[in-house]
Amino acid sequence: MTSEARVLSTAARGDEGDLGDLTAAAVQGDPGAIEVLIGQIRPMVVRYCRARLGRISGHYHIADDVAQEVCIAVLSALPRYRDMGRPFASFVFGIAAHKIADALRSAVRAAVPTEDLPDGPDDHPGPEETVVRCIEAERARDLLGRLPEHQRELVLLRVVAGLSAEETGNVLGMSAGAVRVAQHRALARLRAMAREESIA
Amino acid sequence: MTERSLGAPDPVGDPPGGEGAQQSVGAFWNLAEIRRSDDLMEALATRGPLPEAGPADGEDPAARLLRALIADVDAGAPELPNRRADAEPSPAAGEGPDSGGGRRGPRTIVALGLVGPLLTGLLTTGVAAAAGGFIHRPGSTADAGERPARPGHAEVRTDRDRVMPAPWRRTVPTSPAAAPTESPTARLRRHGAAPQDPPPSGRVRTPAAMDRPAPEPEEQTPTPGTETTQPEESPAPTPSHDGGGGGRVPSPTQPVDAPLSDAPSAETPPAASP
Repeated sequence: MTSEARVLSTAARGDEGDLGDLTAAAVQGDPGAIEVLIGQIRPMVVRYCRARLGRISGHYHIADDVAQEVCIAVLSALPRYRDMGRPFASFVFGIAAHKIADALRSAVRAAVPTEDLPDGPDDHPGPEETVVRCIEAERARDLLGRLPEHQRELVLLRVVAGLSAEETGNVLGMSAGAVRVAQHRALARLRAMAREESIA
Repeated sequence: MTERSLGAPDPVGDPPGGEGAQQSVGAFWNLAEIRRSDDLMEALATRGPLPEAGPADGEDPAARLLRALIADVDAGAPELPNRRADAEPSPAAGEGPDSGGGRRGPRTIVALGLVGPLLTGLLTTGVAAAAGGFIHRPGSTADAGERPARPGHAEVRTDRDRVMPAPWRRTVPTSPAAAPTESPTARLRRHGAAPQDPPPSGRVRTPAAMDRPAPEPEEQTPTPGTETTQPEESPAPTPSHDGGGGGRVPSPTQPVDAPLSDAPSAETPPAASP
């Protein structure tokens, strides 16, 4: 089996153990493994950064730039990465948290590029739907920001990044059972806060 | 704050009265709620439909807000890898908070289903063996009579010496774990009617055998803790009993107390005289 086929078959399974195998191959410098590994983590990192940073001037460009910086940082750190017993996702989201903190501290608002005028019909949701969705999403971010930090991180990793309970527990250093209990409490608190805002 | 899993013992202790039962009922309901929350979170994580068992999307403000957030961050983002397709089965509603996955629950139930009968069988065997000892020792002797289920080894040897019947055919012994579980009554019938079958363990007693004289102290007996069958019926099961010949089967006419090997076993303690 060629290295590329082995990497692709490993990525297809997609559990933490195989991500570890993929990481090992990427650390060794396997280009196929590196490509697959970045392809696995980038969607989660993009969503995580978008959820944490939100839209700036109605766009996710800042969050996407931060996600890109995270991926570059992961690529740069791969040759020096050593398996210290923690999952690779924990390493990645640790870098993401630092990059997000740096972006939040930065007061620079980069210029927002605009797309060229489309030539064809626009299939995206209409402006009203987009505004409603943005308002709901901002409200969700606001409520998540009022949760305890560990519950907020848990919900973001679980829901936004799409990690399973086991994977989330691996990243946060918790058991899957503890994750399920904590997410239940986080949901209950979100419901309570949402109802209080609705009443108010 | 440290998350405590459900069912974890309260270090303060359960309050007296019925509050412990109320807490257990509360924990039961919390378990169902936790499972519903997990189903909801899993549906949100996999971008699938919300579970029907839980509150509707419109009624659950948390679910509605999280779905809006997900839709917002997913717009224009690269597609999430399908990491759940092969790694995990579909999340089961029966997952517990500490199950660690949908597969652990059924595996736990299967494991309990296998271990339960096994433990029950072992306990039954032990109880039957102990009861057999009670029944087969009518208290006519000084050191017989009611004894606990696990008598001392010296006492066991004494009783065993007393009850070994001479005409029993000596065969390859069987370990007590493999011994069939039988009621004391059946054992009595079997030994009284047809003493050809070897006793399953060294603790079998028969009324007829109680009248026989005690064998010589040199009779080989099983080592403590091994619970093997009668040594006279084991021609070559253990190295301690077999002086190297191995496989010599004494004839039924040999006296019970005839040692099987010339060299006494170093592990055989001297039998107590009656």
